[in-house]
Amino acid sequence: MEGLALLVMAVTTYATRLGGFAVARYAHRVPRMLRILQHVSMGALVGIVVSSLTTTADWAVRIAVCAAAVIAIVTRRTLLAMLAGAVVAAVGRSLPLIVGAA
Amino acid sequence: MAAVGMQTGITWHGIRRGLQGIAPVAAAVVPFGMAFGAAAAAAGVSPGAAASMSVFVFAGAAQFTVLGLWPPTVDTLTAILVATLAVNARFVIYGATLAPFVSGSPPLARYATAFFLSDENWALATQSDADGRRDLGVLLGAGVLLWAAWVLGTALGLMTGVLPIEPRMLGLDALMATFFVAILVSSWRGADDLWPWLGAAVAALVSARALPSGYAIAVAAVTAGAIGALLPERAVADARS
Repeated sequence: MEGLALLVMAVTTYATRLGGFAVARYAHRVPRMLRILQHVSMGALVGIVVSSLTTTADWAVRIAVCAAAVIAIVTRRTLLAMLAGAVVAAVGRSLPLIVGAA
Repeated sequence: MAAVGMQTGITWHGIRRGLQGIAPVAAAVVPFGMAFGAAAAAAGVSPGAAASMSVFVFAGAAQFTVLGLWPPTVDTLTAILVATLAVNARFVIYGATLAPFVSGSPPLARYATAFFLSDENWALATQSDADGRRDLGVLLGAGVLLWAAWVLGTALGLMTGVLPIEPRMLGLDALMATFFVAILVSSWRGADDLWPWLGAAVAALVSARALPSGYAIAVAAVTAGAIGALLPERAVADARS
């Protein structure tokens, strides 16, 4: 039964991945669809960011995301913004330990 | 291997760019894979099934979600299918938005690359679009590395049974979030994006309370698309698409 469940999951998941590509093949012939899909992709990114802030995020993640956004806007360096934000979160989380040990 | 036409297609150069671009994120994926391996063992999933899940499904959100439905019975198979479909629905949207990348690639490349579609390499691939290159290889190279990291992490988590590195302590969950926000910022194209973005943010906030995260992303994406479709078309938008 585990094997069957795995098969169901694998087939379903691949279908969603390939399904999008199938839509893409059709949409590519319609220029207006391409413009709309640009907005759709931006919306998905916004959705990912909002989800990362609301579900299991603590204050450290929220501050890290804000810091990363500011750094990204100011420096226009994606990698720098990403790593700096993660460092902020790690430092922020270990501060209580450092302060407590002092 | 190269099938390039009108700057679309799949090339080795794109694959290398994908590997390089995703490397830090892939490193962060390993501890998350370990978390899944450990959680699966704790949930009573057999090691072979847990490993196979990471190898053949390669969808962290769905994999964690179905742990609550293990061990599967004839009755719960439908629930597993529905849960997987709901959480992974956003993949349909991701694939659709990659229309310019997909059109110039041969069928085998499309079928193979599709397997590795995930949140992180999709976001990376959309970013490469701004440079004028639309190389499906970015998606493939990054996807293979993410998959390898996920499988490796799962194997390690299954072997140790305990999570020696808590991802949160290293800020790795934050790294995932900052990765996406950094790409989001770089994808801003001007005032035309304001209302779609705001609409998407509101839609995501509202649905995040009521629905699983996979749904929230899909709802936000569709909302942005609807708002974008309703807005008057500008000549600038044509030049960039």
